[in-house]
Amino acid sequence: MRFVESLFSKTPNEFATQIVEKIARQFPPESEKLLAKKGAQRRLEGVIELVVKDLDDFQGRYQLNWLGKARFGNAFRWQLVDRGYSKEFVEALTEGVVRHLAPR
Amino acid sequence: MKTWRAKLFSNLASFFGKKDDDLPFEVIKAIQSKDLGLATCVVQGWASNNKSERNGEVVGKVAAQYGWLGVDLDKLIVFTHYYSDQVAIAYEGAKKYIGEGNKDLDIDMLTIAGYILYRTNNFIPAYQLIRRVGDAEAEVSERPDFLMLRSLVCWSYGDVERARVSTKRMVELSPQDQVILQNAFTIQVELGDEDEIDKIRGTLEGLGCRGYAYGLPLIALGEFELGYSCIDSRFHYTELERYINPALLPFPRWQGEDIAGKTLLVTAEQGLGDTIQMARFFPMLQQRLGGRLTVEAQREVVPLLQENFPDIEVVSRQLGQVPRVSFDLWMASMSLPFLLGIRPDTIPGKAGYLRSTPEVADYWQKRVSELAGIKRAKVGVAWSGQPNHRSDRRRSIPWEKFSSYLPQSDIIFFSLQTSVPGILPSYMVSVSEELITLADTAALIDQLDLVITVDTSVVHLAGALGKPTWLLLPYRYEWRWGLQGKNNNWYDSVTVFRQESHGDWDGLLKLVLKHNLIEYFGL
Repeated sequence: MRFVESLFSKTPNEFATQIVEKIARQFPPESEKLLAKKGAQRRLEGVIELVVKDLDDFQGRYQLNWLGKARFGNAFRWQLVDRGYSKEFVEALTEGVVRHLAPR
Repeated sequence: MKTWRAKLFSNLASFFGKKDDDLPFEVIKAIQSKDLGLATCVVQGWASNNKSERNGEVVGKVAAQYGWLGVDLDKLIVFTHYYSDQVAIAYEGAKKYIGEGNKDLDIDMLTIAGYILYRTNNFIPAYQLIRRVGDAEAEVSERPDFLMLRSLVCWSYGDVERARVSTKRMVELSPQDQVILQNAFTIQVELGDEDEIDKIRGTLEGLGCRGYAYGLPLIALGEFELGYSCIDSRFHYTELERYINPALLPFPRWQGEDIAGKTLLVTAEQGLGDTIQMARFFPMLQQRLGGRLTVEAQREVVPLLQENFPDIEVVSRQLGQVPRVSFDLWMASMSLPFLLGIRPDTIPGKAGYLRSTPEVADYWQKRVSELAGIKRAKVGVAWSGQPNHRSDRRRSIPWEKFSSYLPQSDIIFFSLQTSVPGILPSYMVSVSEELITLADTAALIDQLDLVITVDTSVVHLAGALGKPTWLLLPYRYEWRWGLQGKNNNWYDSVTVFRQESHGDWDGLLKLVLKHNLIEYFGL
């Protein structure tokens, strides 16, 4: 039986924290300036691949409903902002994860 | 109306002698004597303990009032700025007297400018400057201050013979000066003149010297405990702030007393390699503490340390700022061997004490596999370090020389440096743009069969990971690796290969890359 995330669970926030920490460990905010180089872009893609895998695992286990996804997306966005990533970076990654979690 | 009131109050202030209030009595007396040597000496003592960017201006103003003018006034101001650590301003003042167009070089100003360039790691300009002495050679040969500068600069530059001559002469002129002797000792230990080493050592011991610069060569000579106790005197060193977070200096520093139950902050000092080398002591320290341990370290190494020491709080160091963590006492990382009472036989982690981060390892496993193709052996290489390091010219190998010895065989070479030439041979790959943090470099090294490197952070990272590593060293180089032999005190997996004579990279590279490497992989 899969768990359906309740309206008031903290799980989306906790998961957002874990994901952003994982991103920051491998691609800290100050690394953004390296993105002009192809190698750094490739490395970031590697980080995103791991994030996508984690998203899939999480969704498979917890099956976030529309509210959970919204809470996750919001928490994800603000945690990236708090870490010091640029506006463009935050928007691009947040849009990416939200789209990935959207029903297909 | 406003104007005459402002003028009146300004005049009143000067009437009460306020202009002299910034300077202590002895400095004013020395300035009144109009003796440049005396004034410089007194100003040095005062300014070194009262560093302020205003010092030069204040001294200049007072000196002018007492009739100083011309080059002597300029010199006094430049020296004041220098001893107040306002080196950029001091250099601007000295530059007027040492420009290319100056026919008569002022040796005082040249010496100060040379020290400033050396202290700010501008070694090539420093070397070019001291080579301009020319006709003043007879004069400078009687000046220990210039000779020490020339000795240090030439040694950094790799001009061994000039360093040797200057070092010997400066000791002849100042046989009891501890600063001169400590610097001479460091250079003589690396030059290898045993008679001079013994003579200077004897004098330093007779003077009861326990200075920082004495400690490092002592460790190279195998005198671990005495060497590390000398290193712990570095907190009085004028250049301390370049290597240790100065924001911590006002706080209580741990000096070995019982601190059970307290919170200790360890601040990483000097380079990334030094941080990695000292990280091995963290678990031992934490166990001894029984309280909380926090480490602040260079940003690049934080993820790796967090992964490997999950019970220790690791934060990024911001030089000049107090970290936002609570602590009762602090210490600097290079004091760990001394404060923990370490001997060579009790150094922990020789077999390795770091592992690469699993989440990063996957990426590099795929990447290396992709790049290595069907090559039998994967070797990581690093041939040069940061150019602003004092010994970089000695420890680094020019790319053209290094690459000329790389064998073309069933080996694929991975550059482990962040700075690489634009064009690489077909049997070498560079992934420097993908090395975002040190965790990436660690994961890359993990995928390799062997690492060959000069003395940079790479050797410490590879050794800490327990990866077979060949270290290429100049002749008699650097305190931590001893002076001879293939073994070392720190990493079992690191084999040391040394130049047979000063500057002979060709001989070493031929042996290691053309012979040993081929034999190692059975190619």
